[in-house]
Amino acid sequence: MKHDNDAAIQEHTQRALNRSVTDLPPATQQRLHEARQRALSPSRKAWHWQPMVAMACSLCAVALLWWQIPSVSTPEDPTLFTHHNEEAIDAFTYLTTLDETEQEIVADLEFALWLSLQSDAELDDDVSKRG
Amino acid sequence: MQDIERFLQSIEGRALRMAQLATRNEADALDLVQDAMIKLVNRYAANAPEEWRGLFLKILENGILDWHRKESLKRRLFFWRHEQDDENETTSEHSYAHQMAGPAEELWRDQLGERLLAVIEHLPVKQQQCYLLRSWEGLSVSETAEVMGINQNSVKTHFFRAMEKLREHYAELAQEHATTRQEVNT
Repeated sequence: MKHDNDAAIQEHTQRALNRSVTDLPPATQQRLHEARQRALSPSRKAWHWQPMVAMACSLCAVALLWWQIPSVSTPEDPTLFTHHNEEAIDAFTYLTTLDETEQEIVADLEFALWLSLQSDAELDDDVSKRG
Repeated sequence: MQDIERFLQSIEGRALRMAQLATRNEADALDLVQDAMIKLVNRYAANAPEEWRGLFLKILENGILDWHRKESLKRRLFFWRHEQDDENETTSEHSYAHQMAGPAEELWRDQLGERLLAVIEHLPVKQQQCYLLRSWEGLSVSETAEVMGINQNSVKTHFFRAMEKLREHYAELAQEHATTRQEVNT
């Protein structure tokens, strides 16, 4: 809804605003000129890249340090670790393929091995007591 | 002179006045204008020159609205400092009334314009910027919405409220002027 005074209000404000721009004090005009020159200066644009270059350098330094420091959790001989694992897995796979009779034989063999180890240990104890 | 430099030169004074009205502080206004110039040159110098005005105004508006958000936060945090500023502002508004004594019509017109600017200066920032973009910069509703990052209905509402306040003050000032003229004649 347009009012009667709207055009007059807009005219008065526009005139006042335009006059305030043309009547800007010389010091303010000088500051505006300096601001414009600063915005257009090529050194400002170059400066914009500096933080990015610094960031890239620090990332490279961190990456280098990461490779230099040995990891604590890595075993000393990784091949040995892998070898033991493979052996255990092979044995387990082999045992699952045996039938009942073969499993009984393996159990008997394990018992015989344990018994011989026990008797060896008892013999060693007797010798040490007598000695 | 480069095209972009010519463009900045053509708009810097108006941009400064818009920022000054919003911040009521010349140093802050200059900072906002300089930031807008730097952003335009660094990011959009390669764009078509006809796009520069819209982009520049958008950057400036974002800066002004950000400045206001920070200022209102500061006002809430340091409220005791701003009570004193508000008192000073009221005093300066009152001093305007004394300048109205001039009987010449031309002087009155100038003073009327100045007093309407003082009203614009005290409008809420969105109403103020809407009014300036629509009425002074001559942007359409859709262009103003784009520049301010708000929808077109909000632009219409802000502009309507700004106009309402200006009408109210204009009526008062016209009445005041009529009384003064009558006194001079008698």
